[in-house]
Amino acid sequence: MDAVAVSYPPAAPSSLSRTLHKWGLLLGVIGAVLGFLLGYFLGGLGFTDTNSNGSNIQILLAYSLSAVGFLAGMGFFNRLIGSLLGRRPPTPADEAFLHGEGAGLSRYFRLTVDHKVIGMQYVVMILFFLFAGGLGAMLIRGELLSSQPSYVTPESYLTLVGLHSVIMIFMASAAIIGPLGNYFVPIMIGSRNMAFPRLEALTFWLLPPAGLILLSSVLLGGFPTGWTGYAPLADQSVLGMDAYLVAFGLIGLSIMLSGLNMITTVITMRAPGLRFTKLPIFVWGVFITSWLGLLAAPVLASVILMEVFDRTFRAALFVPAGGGTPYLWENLFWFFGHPEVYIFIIPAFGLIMEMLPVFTRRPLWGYRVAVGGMLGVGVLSFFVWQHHLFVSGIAPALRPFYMFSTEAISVPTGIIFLVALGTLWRARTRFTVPMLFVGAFLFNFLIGGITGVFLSDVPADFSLHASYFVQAHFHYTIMGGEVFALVGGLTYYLPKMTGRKLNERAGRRQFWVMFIAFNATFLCLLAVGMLGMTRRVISYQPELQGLNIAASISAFVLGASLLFWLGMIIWSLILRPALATQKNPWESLGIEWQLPTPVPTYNFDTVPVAWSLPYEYDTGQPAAVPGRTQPALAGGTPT
Amino acid sequence: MPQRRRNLINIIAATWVLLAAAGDIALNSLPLPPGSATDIAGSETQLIRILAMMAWPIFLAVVAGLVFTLWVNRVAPAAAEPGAAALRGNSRLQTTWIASSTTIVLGLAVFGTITLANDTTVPAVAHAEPNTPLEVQVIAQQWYFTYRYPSFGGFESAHLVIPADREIEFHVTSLDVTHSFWFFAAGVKADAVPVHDNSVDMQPLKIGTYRIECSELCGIWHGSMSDDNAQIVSAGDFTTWAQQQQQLDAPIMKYLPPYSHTYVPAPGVYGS
Amino acid sequence: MRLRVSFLGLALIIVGAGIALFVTLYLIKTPPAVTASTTSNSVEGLPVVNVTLTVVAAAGTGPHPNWVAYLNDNGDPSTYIHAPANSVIHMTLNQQDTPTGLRNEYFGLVRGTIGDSMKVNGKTMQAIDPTLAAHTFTIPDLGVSVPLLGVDANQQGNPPQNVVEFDFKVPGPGLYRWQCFVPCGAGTLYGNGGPMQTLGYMAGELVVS
Repeated sequence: MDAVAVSYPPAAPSSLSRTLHKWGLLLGVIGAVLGFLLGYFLGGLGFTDTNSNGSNIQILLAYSLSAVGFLAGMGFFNRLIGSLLGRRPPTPADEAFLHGEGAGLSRYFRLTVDHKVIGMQYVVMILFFLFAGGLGAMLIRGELLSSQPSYVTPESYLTLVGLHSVIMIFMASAAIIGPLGNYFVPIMIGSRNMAFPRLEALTFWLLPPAGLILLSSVLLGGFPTGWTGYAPLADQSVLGMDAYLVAFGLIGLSIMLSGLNMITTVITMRAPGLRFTKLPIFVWGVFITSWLGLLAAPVLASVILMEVFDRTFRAALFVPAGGGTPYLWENLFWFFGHPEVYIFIIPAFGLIMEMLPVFTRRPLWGYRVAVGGMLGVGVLSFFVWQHHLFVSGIAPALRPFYMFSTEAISVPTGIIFLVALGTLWRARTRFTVPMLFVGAFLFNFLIGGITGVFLSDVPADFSLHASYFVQAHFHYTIMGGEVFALVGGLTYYLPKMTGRKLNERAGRRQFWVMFIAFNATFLCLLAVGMLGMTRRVISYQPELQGLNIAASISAFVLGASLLFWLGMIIWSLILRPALATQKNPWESLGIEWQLPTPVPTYNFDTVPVAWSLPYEYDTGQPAAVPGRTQPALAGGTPT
Repeated sequence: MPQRRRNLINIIAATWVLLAAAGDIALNSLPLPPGSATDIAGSETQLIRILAMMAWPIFLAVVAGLVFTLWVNRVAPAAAEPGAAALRGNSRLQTTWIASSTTIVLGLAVFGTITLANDTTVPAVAHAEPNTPLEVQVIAQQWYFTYRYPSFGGFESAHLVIPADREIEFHVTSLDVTHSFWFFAAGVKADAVPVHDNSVDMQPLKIGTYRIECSELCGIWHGSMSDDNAQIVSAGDFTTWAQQQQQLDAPIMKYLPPYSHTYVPAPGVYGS
Repeated sequence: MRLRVSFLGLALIIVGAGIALFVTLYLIKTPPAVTASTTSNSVEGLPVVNVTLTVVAAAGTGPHPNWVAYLNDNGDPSTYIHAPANSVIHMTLNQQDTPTGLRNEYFGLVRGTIGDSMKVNGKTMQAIDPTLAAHTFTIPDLGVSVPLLGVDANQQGNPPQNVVEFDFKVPGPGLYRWQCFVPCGAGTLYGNGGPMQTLGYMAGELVVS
């Protein structure tokens, strides 16, 4: 900032900047196309002889520049270019415009820095990923009804499996932090916005290009490696592999930046008086996860870059005959991959523990132990990755160490269960739909965690690694854990985010179908894995066909229940909105529920005071006093 | 505590004991995978059995606890129940829980390590003649497994046949990308990594025909890279088979490279 | 405003359905087939059917004109061989490609055919020099593996080719995968990418009905 006060002429709204922003999405698409063409042209200038019988460098440059072009069109570089061109710095009116003031529904379709808008944008994107990946799952289960290839060819099957898994990974890496973390963390700490609002918008706007680039791999011949992208095979693949690499790189960037933003926000922007020991447990969950994201995602970005070099320039980092080794990929990928799965589940832990006190009307039992548990899980998650390499031929002496560390990670996870049970014990629990999902989370994650203990034992892992047992284990933890928490959490928070409530009776029915179908599907798959069926195969032993058919039929029912839930959302939120008349339908003490619905544009008028843990249900004291708040500023419409 | 609740708790506790015991007894007598066709398969089955027998009562206890507390104390969703204080007696319960879960987990890890050590050292047990381990090389390539027998002149075969009378030493390697040799019934899984030798020992115990699969994604035919014709046979049958294979392989023997634990792939790594 | 939102929702649903349709159609592709022509011969009591394929260094047609391919009678790259159950296939391969060499020399041995041998330009052979192999004709589940001798630079003919013939038995109905074991996917790592992993080129199926 200048020491000398410079006075500018009165701030006239900059119409160019606003027009560019309003048309951001269209400009973004144009920018993407131009970037693609530019990259394709530039890549064609270089050598074209590469690993995959086609030009990697063209596709890589085309995709990368199209992502940059998209972001440029959206307006992420406008301020930079503006200051380079000597335009005047942004005025408060510009900031207000960027925040979405007075913009109505159109602010959801452009670069808006209001964290609440970004949260809603994430809801839509996460649901898109969930259902796109879910379509893949239904196709896969349909194919596996027969023990021989039926309607899918062997090469398409691998791409189908890869697309399903990568899309779901994209979904899971932001499922809870994206919509609910971005929306509620600033509110829960008494702040007006995140520390880096435009960075937050960037973490969202990286997702649509990543998703589209990944889906476009189908046009380039697909990729055969599944989501783990194992190295020598990845070197060999056709151009679709490059789509995977660019898309995954963009997601890694999104995870890193989101982590950075959350950490900075929670550390620096807490209201005075809100000490770490009074933070809602959900914020703790998001905070701890953000460290994992910040530290692990760069390793992903690095290993993806290495693979790009391997494929494009024959760097032979992963090819033994050229001096490299596949173990390099496996170790680096899983060094990221293991914290990644804890990125999925720790926010879910936080969300579940945030909802429990509301429906048990009791304080969270063992709050500090819960924080310690999540912290323990987060720290230990960096020390266990070689359990993915137990059978890969690593030095045998390494295996007991990773067996110990992996078994040890179940102790802090068990603490979460302890806290949940302690909160529930003898509590008069209200069985609302979100509470049902909390209960289901605990049941599903119990099975998921126990099967994890099986896998962590090396001799047992000899039989179970790379079988459907592993697949069912991670579906129990990720789907049975995080997705159930997501559905419950959205049901819980949508009344605050949109002012509309989902139908309670329909929700119960949907829950029971989903819960039973989910367990039916994955218990069958646990069994199939124990009986020796390998993952990612299109043909398997005919003896296992019965169990596979049972799993597939249950999976179809599960898919139907999720589609029904989507229908419920569209119905209750858009077509026949059921307005939530109270601002606090669940009677929660959290500060987010003390605000009016819709949440005012800048959350709080004055900084909230008198902070306490939001679980004082014995005294009924809310988390903080929000201070005088004005209704939403003129022009802002309820979402 | 009212008598009715105490009775309920007793009933639930008794049910838990019964179900846990029934489950454990069933798990103890059920044939669990991978079976006992080889010594390490047997020890893996035992380990899985122990894990399952420990997991079942714990799972039941947590679920029973959850269901009990949720059911007994349920109220209607909109009930205007006043808030309640937290459960008292924190630290002892927490310490007990953490300590017991840590003990269980470390105990399992120690047990697993001991099992692993037993499985991976060649026992100094005297077998009937012959008692030297038979070395079998598993060559993985896209998309098939072939097997070489160095002690029989290094002939190569398309199917795995091993004798039941002595220790088998598998040396798994790959000629191109990473595969994984999974002999389910034998409890053997070893990744086949190019220019790397992954070695696993086992002692076959049961004669029969078994299935081998590839369990590391290796390309289009990964799912088809399985063989239902792997055989564990008697020593006499094995020698007969080995001699037959040597004769069948006679035309190609002069072209096969000398036996080695790893092979650097040729022709050119990047195709011609 | 609700109308706008509904329109948006409808548009999204249509786009989604379009994507789903595209994905589904992508998965269900029916490639060109190679049909077996019946003859009146029989071997060991089983009827003989003839199948002829031409193996070329560049397909010339189709989505990948410069990939190695097996061409059927119409000149289309195809490796979906249809044959009746319980028959004997008399395979004739007009091999026109130059040698690449086998990665695993063991596949230079002829296996699984009747008599464990093949005829190359009329001469009976049981194995070839692995470095001279251009492709193989392998059906792993049936144990059939025949190396195909590559064309020599000095060979005469228009085009120069080696005619490889052999017979093998076809069992009951089912789907048996077919592949080439020579790493002939030029430019890809280990030569096993590209055509080696694309059905219709160096990967295929024997469809027995």
